[in-house]
Amino acid sequence: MRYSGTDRPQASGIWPPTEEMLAEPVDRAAQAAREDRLREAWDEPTGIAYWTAVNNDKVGAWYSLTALFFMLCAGVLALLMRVQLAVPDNQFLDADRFNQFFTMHGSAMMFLFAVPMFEAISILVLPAFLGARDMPFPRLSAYGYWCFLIGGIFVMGSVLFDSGPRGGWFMYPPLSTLDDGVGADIWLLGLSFIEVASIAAAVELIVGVLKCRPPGMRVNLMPLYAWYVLVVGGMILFAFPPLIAGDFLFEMERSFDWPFFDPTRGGDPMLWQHLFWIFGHPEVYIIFLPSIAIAAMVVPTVAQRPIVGYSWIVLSAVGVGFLSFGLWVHHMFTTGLPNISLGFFSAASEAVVIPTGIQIFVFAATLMVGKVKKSLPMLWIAGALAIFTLGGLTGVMLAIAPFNWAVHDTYFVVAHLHYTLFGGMIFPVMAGVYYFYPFIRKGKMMSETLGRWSFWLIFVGFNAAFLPMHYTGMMGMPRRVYTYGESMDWGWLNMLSTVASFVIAAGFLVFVYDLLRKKKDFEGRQRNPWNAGTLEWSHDVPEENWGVRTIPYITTRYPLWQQPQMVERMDAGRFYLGDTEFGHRETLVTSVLDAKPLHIQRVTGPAYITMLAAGFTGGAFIFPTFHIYGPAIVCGAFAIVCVLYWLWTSTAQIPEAPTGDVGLGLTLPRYASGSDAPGWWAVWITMLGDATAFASLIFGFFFYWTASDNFPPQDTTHADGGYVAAFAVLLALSWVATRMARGIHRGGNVAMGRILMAAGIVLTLTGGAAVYTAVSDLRPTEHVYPALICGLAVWLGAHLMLGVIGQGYCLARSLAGRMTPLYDADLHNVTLLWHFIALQSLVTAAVIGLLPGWMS
Amino acid sequence: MKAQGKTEFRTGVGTLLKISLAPTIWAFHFVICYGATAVWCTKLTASGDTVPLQTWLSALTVAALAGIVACGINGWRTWRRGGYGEDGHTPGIGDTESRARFLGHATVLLSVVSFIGVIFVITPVLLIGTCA
Repeated sequence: MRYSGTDRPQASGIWPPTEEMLAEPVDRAAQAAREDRLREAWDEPTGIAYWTAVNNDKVGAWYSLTALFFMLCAGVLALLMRVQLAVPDNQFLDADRFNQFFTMHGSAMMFLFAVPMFEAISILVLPAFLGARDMPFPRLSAYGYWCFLIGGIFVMGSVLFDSGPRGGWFMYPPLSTLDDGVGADIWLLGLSFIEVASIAAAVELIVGVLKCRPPGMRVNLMPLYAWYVLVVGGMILFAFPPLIAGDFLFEMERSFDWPFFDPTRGGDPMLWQHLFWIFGHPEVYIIFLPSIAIAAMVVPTVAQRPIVGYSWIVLSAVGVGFLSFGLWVHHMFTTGLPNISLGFFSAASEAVVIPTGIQIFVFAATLMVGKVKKSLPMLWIAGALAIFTLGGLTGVMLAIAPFNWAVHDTYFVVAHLHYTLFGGMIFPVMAGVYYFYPFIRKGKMMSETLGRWSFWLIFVGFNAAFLPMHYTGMMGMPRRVYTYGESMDWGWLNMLSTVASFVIAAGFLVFVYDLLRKKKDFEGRQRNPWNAGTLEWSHDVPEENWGVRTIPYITTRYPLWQQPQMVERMDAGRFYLGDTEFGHRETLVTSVLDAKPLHIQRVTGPAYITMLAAGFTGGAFIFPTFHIYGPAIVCGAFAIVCVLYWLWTSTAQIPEAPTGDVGLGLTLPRYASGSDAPGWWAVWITMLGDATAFASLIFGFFFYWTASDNFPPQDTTHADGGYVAAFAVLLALSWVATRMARGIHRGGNVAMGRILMAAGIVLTLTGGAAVYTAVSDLRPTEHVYPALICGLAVWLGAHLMLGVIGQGYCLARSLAGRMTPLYDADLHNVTLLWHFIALQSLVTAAVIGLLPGWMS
Repeated sequence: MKAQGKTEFRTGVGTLLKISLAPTIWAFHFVICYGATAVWCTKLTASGDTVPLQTWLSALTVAALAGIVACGINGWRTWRRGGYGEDGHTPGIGDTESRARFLGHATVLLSVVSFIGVIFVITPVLLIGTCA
């Protein structure tokens, strides 16, 4: 059969499968041959090439262990600080080193441990929850990991050279903009680099949950963990970009003296606080939700029954996801905002308790109606619920503005945040480690005795260290002081906290020893030691690299409990995609709502290119820290080349055959473009995050207008109106050309499509020149108004570079015969990218060309 | 061409996002309340008088609550259509009905939380009658 761009291969055959089809025995000899082919396709590199692996289980394990390592480093910093604070007038650490340590402790725990740990665990277990072979973009996970590793070592290592950041984990200007050392730059650029990796992971996890579920797993059947991942991925897209926008402004001020936060030239340090906390508060929930999601997996297993109130958990996750964005100013209650504004945030902070509380009650209800089997994971979950509830209660107190004024910046806040983070993150994650260990290490278990020791040491140590801090804070001890006088009477409380902090450390040592010690085989190699009901426990013991033998057909929430013979049939290769016809790594892509099988997706395999790309990306971020810009630009260019090579050689490959038989009488296309393709979703989700960052810059424009009487200033130079209009028109035309190229190309007129793509490139380049000319007379160091206009122009310019690379890539793919009317995913993705670029161009033109006239 | 443009965004994700319509109304209500208060207090009033602000935001609140109630009713209907409350009906789990029942139920629950959230947010505007 011949296909064309408009007459494309469709799914055909039987859907859904009948019980008779599933019950039919499988031919053993054919199965063995299929298994061999699969094994070969998913074979792992060995030797030094081991590190080129991109499989989710390898990358996820490296990711988790690296995050654990950074957590231990940050923990050591905490111990050193506790030693310094143990007695009054101590000289163990000087003030500057203490400042570096508390800054790095907070930053590392947040950016190098808590968020990456969520990504790590999700990459490690999510595909197994969904019965998928791997994540949709394995090389992207690997790239994210290597970025994280490089950035993390760079940021963490700065402490060893006495050049760590020292302005607190929220880096408030003007303290940090005026800081002479490189510490603030290391923080800004190093962590921005890691934030990029976080967004990459968010994109991958959202696409994974929406498009890579097993056939039949409708949205109401997803494991609750997947719901949380979906919500948290969405939150990352709206929370991290404001911080990236803030980092961009901050670094422009530090490197080029553009006065965004300098009040003497119209800037305002409060903008940083807003951007930071629009990120910073949702961040707390970004850490909390995926950890509590682990509880949502453990609790039903422990209770040996399905969760009570599945929709209530979804309500809770989605509700928290939204409400958590209305809380940011409660970190800014003492900044002198009008009381009425504080009231909004106080109210929303109280409202978020409702959905947060509901999930705790759901867990309690499930445990009450189930037959609870005592186990280590449950012990940790119980500890988590107890500690988190206490942290939540002080949270309700802190949400009340007058109380907040009284204890602001005292140890009461330190106690509160550690209660929420230990209860909301550390304890559930520990539960998860004990629970998933037999899955990750294929049948081996962690020690029950050591686990109990670790739990009680950490639980008792934690409460003994942090419960007194509420009182220390009430007595008036401020955060972040490196020492205090004898007359303050805080000495004994601090000594208690210090001693107890070493008890916590002992607990972690026991845990790490148990985690890493060599375990003997006779500890039992069961596949499903907890008798759980979710798909990850159908894993192969001993290990196979293919993820799942066959991708199952799911009609229940707990398939291992509720669908008889599930595991036997998966093992026998009864379900979907039990073979790989051409020796490629493949997984199934299904529809968003009902998980109807749509097509076969080829996934990428091991590669050095992702490591190279991450290395060069690292150079592009790290060199500017030391104000070395030449090599940074070279690294940036090489990073782009690496990514292009990676895309060119391994994505949207034209398949050997248009369709393939996936088993159970179903034939699916082997290629998808537009909204059927995971790549299209990845672009859409990435650009949504990008648009959020852009919106944060536009918010800055309005913020300066409301916060100042003189914005825009009376006698300032504005952007050149004629050129602003010119770039708006040129870039809109470039978008039109790209959009038309897509339709015409698919219709079969390849030559005309290529002409339009080339026209798009020319229009983008001339549009970019117009952007530059429009703002070239402005002097950004003079005042925040020209600085912000130039900032928007730089932002737009960077996107135009991306846009023109996209247009050029499509043209090159078409000329090289790698993109045809039938196989045109690249052009669809670039068009989608251009929807966003066109929007940003027009908004930028309106804001810098039209708004100043209305405002002044 | 037009039909193609339409299908580009028709992926089922819209139906999924419908459950978050009520919280989205809450979010807009929240942002507008916060932004309007900031602009009113810094740019539009010299005396610190908040009565016009209270009036406008109360009207906005009524509209937001009406929208949330509409979402809730819509969710309730989907929930019923999915088989909730029917006599002698044994609810399934792996069918389109059960998916509708779930999405409807989640919509209703989120509408309730959003309704409470909107009332919480308007309270300071009504109680604190000053820009100070």
